[in-house]
Amino acid sequence: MNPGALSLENAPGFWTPVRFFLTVPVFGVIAAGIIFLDGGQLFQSRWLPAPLAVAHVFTLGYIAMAMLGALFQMLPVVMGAALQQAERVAVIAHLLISAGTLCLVFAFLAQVPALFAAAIILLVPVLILFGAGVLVAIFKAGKARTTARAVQLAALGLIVTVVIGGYLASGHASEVVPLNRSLTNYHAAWGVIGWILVLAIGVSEQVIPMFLTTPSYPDLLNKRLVYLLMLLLCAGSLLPLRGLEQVAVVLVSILMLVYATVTLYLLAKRRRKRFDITNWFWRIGMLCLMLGAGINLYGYFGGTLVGADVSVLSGLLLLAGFAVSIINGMLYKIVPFLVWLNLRMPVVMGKLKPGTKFYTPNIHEVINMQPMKIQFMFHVIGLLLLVASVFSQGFLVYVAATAMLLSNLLLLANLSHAVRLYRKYSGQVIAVR
Amino acid sequence: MKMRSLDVRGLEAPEPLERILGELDSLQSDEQLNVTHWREPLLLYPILMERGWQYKTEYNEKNRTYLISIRKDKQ
Repeated sequence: MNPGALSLENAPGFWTPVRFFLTVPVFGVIAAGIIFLDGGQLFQSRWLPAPLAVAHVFTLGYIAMAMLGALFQMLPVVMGAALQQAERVAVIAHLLISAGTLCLVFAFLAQVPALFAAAIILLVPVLILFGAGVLVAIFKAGKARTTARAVQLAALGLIVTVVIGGYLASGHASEVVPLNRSLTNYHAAWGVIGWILVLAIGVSEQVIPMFLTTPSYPDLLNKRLVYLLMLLLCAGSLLPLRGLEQVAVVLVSILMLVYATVTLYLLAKRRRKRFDITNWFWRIGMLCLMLGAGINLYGYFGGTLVGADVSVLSGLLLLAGFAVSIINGMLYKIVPFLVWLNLRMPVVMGKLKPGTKFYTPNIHEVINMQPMKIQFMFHVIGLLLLVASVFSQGFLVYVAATAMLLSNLLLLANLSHAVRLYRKYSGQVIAVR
Repeated sequence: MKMRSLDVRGLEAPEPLERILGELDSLQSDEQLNVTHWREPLLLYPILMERGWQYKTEYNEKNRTYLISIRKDKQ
């Protein structure tokens, strides 16, 4: 008997992760709204209120929201690690992160110290406790496989990011605390590399072969990449040596390129060649990761682009291009899977009343392909136009924001369609637990 | 004990679970089903426990595969 076996008492219910996933496109709509109203001024400098607000809508409202939802599902199902009181924790975490993100975004836009203070209270404890909870849950499960280790490291990355971010926000909230802007680069580096990228690597190691029928990641890359990234991140940010920081930045960029190249190669080697929208979202994401890493490196060594802020461009490619694209693709796999799982499990567990009608959805028909294709099209158009807007402010940014708005509204509609299907048929089966 | 094999590597989720459950429906009490899988099927275990089946999972580090042996009688 396997000690890591999942008990259904520990399995998350349908709404535990789904409440996070449904909120993701709502924050996408908010980001598009801010970009539209700002009218393109936000691309002039990363230090302006609007780009800081949009960056945090993406990192907290979109990316962290999706990743927390995914972790609530993956920890027990993929890693055999159960979070205590997952349903209750999910409800509270979701509320705090939603409210905290809105506070932070309005704090940046309106520069209100009290809102920064509220954002700190709402976000910092819950994100640190969640990170710590993940670390403990995986440690208790005793799993030493790659994904679990990557998720543990990412949880550590999240904690460091939040601690630095909380300190920076307290500089905005109170005159007593100095606003140390030099920490911003470390906050961003730990967030993008230590939390988002490391978790993406860990998740893709599971999700890509599982849902896209690719070969597994190469063993060496698989086992070493996340450790190397974290080592370089620590060395670059903790040791006060300029030369070492430069080496770390170069090596991290190379590792980003390696991960993206290997992922693109694996996606080209899918065993089933059937058209799959997630495949295309991940391809776009990997291309953006390569471009973002390259441009970040170019800017770090003093490179400039005519009419564009290099750090804004690399941030846009890494957040709206890489992270948002792969999350979008992941949502189109994980939400239909959850609908299937929660309708199918009562049936296979023999938990139906005799004669109860039940429905087992085909996972490929939970969300129709055509609406997903249209949403993908708006996503790509929005992304391309946003990148173009960095170079050429003006009319273009309004079109970009509109495309992004439509993309997120369609994403919300597509995910809601899956949820409606679940609600329609879940009433016909008896809950497992 | 008769042996039956099922290789679910390379199948898209949730097909591996459906295939395994399909095989188990016809598994006789003197048969053992040996499943080869890229991942550990954590969702399968509670179903097996609920149905009272015995299972054992071994991980092959070299091939990076899991071998799950399932039978109806007590081991």
